[in-house]
Amino acid sequence: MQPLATLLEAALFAASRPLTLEDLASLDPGAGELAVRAAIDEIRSMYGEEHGVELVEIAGGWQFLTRREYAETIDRAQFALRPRRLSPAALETLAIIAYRQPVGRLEVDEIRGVDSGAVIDKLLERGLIEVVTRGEGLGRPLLYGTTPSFLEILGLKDLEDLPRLEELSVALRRPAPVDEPE
Amino acid sequence: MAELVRRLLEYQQIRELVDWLGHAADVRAERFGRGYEAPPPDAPPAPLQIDLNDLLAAAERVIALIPEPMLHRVVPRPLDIEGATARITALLAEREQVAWSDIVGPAATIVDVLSTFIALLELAKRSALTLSQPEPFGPMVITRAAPRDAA
Repeated sequence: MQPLATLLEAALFAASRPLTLEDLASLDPGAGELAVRAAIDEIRSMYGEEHGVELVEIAGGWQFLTRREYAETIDRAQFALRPRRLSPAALETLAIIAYRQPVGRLEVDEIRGVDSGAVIDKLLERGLIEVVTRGEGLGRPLLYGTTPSFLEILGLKDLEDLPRLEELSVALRRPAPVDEPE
Repeated sequence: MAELVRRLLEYQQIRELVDWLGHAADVRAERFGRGYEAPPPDAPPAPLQIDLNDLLAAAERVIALIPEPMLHRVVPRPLDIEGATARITALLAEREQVAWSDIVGPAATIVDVLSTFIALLELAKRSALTLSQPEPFGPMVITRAAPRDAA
């Protein structure tokens, strides 16, 4: 392995969160982005199926994770804890925020048909959403968006990994601009 | 009607997405990362967000904490100074010296106490008796005045 690859391997092994390209590049300021990407590819190819862990691209970065086939055994032995499952209400709220972000609480309430204030507070506490800006409407409501932690708990590289809007019903798309009358 | 259908479709789609997200989370939960997690940095508190109903509810809670104003009614109490004077005079006619408790008795009302005290002061002013208190906070001693004093 190249020295840069071994350095990145050590950092990725030590980290408990996905490391971004920027994180990894900061380890060796002399190395360019291309060299870092090449080193990542080298590590990924090295950790093939003959290893129990693999380098996974997740939440905008890379992280060593165990292979899925060992999940049940590790879980049964209680060597590691699975993350807490999200409630249906939390998933509903996350889905709306992920697709409509930045979105305010009133819009979430309207789509769900119930008050979502408590759920939004919980998601804020867990760091899965954050306030990204304020709306222009009355009272300048807070608008929420998802965080890298949201991607991480779902195992997504980025928001593009979500089902595409074209695959969904028109109902969830943002309202189309009003066409000029013909 | 069209709006209702749109909202139902919208919610149905949300339910499909919930299934998708739930499955993705389950799959992700089957891969473990490093166990150590650095303590998260102290996040700044989320900006306060309240709507009008929240504000009104909070105002009502604050108003509920304000105590009711306490009203005191002052009522005139008819004092029986003449009766107290007669009682004192009668006692002093029997004995040269009496105690406060001898005059007001064990179950004196506030009217009795006030009436007796004013009557004592009035009689003392007229030199019909002398009032003394041998020690601070001690019992009051009422003594019949000598005939020349009373004159």
